[in-house]
Amino acid sequence: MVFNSIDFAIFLPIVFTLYWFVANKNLKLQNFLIVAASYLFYGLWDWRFLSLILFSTLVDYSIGRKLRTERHASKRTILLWISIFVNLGFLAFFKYYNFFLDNFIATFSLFGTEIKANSLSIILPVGISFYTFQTLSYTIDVYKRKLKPTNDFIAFAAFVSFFPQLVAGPIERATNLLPQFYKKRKFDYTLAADGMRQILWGLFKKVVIADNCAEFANQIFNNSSALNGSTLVVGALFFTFQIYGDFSGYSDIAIGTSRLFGFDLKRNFNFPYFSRDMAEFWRRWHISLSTWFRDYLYIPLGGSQQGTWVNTRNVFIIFIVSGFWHGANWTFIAWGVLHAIYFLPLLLVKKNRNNLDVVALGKKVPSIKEFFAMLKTFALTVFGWIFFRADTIEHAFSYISEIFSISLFSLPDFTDAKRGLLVFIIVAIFVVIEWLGREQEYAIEVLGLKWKRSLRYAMYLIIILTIFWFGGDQQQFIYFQF
Amino acid sequence: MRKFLNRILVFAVPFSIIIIFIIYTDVFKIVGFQDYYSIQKVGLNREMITTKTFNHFREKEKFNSFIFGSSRSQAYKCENWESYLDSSAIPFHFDAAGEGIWGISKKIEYIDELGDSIKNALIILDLESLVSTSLRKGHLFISMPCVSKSSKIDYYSSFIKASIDLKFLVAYMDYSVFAIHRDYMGHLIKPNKYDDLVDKINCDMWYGADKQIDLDSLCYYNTLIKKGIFYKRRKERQLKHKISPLAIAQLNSIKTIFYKHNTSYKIVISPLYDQIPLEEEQVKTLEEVFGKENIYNFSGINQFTTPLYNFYETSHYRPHVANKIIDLIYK
Repeated sequence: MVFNSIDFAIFLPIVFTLYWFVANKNLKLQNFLIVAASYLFYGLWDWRFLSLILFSTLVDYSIGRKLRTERHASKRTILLWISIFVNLGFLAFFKYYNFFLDNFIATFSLFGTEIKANSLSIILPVGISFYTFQTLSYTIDVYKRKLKPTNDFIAFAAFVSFFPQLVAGPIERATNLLPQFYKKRKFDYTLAADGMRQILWGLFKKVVIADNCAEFANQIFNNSSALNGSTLVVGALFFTFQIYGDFSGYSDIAIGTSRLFGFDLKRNFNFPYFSRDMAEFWRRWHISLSTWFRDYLYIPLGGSQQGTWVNTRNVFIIFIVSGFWHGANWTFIAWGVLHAIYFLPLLLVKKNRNNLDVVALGKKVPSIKEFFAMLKTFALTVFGWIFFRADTIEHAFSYISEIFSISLFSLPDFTDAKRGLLVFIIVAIFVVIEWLGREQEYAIEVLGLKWKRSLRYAMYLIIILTIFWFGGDQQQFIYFQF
Repeated sequence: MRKFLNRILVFAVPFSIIIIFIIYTDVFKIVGFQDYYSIQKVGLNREMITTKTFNHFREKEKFNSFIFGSSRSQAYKCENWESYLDSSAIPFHFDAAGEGIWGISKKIEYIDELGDSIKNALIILDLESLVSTSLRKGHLFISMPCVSKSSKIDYYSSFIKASIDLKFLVAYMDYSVFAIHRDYMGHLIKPNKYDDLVDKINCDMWYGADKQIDLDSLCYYNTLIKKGIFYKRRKERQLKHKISPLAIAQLNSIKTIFYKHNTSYKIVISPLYDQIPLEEEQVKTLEEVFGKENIYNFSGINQFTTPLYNFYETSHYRPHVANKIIDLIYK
């Protein structure tokens, strides 16, 4: 089930009603309802893969309990490795098996040895990369004694499978989300109204921005060999806004939905396209994943407190792993390497923490210096997205080489260019709204709160009608495939 | 909680009224089995009509021969095709707007699943239908759940979404007031000056444009040429198309069911105005799956694609072309 579907529009009010009106007085029942709703939410996509979630839940719950009583350091380490092996084993099999097999065969064929092996027809379970990392964070935190293991299986199952963020994050930490399942939740009007606003904005980002941009990004990337350089730049820009609208839109809907049920999820995006350097971009893009890698990989590797060589190594490891997390394709690895190259100079000259505040805080417009810094970072990001979106490395390079050709100076030419222009205008309006709301958690968080209620409601109605009238053809959320 | 629900209700009431009104008026005629042709100006989902007609008459008529394809297949008529088949053949025109091999394979699977016989089949393909390998979205194209085996909610919601679509609402109101079809209305409102003629049992269709052409063919074609509809043909392909593994799997699924039913089938590659031939690789794949003797390729430059008179516009060819093709392939 996806958020931008009628199915979800029916599912959500039913679960909401049962949660607050039937199970309201019983915390266990509320948690059980969340588990049941989450399994239904996931099972409607493919019920067979529910067994994977259940198995991961059982393994990590049991290991957590064992870690509570186990005193021997070596045995505790073994338990941790069992959890890592099981969780990453599933991930490796479903996501990376064919990739490794194909590359293994290709490597041997370089030396003249032909190996015959059949690739398996493996379906990638939706959201496996997200819930795997979420459960792993629990075991690692329990192992490090940062978190008390839970005795409440239903609460733990609800934490692993919580439907708003099950398939595309934000990747929650057990330290943040799990304790919320132990506490009695009371309906909070302010939180729920805020949640509804965030859902509305998320839907706008997904249906109006991402789905409309997707139509042109797909058209241009799929036919890139026949198009001129300027059109390919337009294609890269469309994809830049598609992926932002798609993923941050999903996160907004997830966070907003959680608020309706009395939960507070971590922020996942913080206006990344207004970043002044790449380090700032990575503090603002997919925050739950970058901080996961920071805490569970980068810092254990030594972080940035070692010598130049180790720092460089760690930066490359973290970005390559992050790229590979997105998918079993060399394009994602190339994207990761490119971002490591962007990031490393800032780290080495210790300028990676220069821009910690909001750009042009309290001002309407940025300074010229800030503007050009944002433009430069944005251009580098757009360039990176070409690798991310391309089908193969060769496709990415041919795309880039056409951009840097004489055809860059011809006019963009693609099917339905007039509608493309309309989409660009909508994106431009969207960017202005995001800019004005960049000091909030999401762009329309406080927009209109001081207006008359009728005026504010009219604004919400306009957003709803825009979603209905200017929504693009429904596209799958990009991050579902990860 | 009460405050929250009250405010949600304030928002929900206007939308609920609109949805109730849409269901009540049923402009796309999706409820039950209806008369789809009398005074019908709103563009309907052609697959819904053919599928519901098939479901309605199949037990009584016992159809056993089928014409499959997109609206281009409407040039072929059951009554003409029937004369080339043996006397037990009872043909039905099972087409859909924008039909691709996904839709054709689903329809063949559906007939098979119902336990009906497929003695004869005529499949009309072209470059576009060969790359259409998944459920098509949008109210004019979406397949009925009984055929597609996909969500009923998605199916019905696409009609509700279409009913409140701004472009449709404007076109519908404009046409309701002025009764003039304007270019921007496209297929949301039927463009024909004269109504289509239909066979309400086997779903054959004769376009109203035939009457216009019969009355004054010069005026008909000159108008379209002036409007730039008959563009200058490029004769070369912009993009290279391949048959995907998914498409091959769907073609094989069709072949398997034909084999099971011992179906006598022929596959026609449509003669199109653009005169762009089907890729050799695509033809080869079709021949490998269905046998060379069953593939009839009329794409590219030939006697059918050259005269303007063979087309209604650049997308659809006329029944006399289809009649000649049937004559050629069955003799």
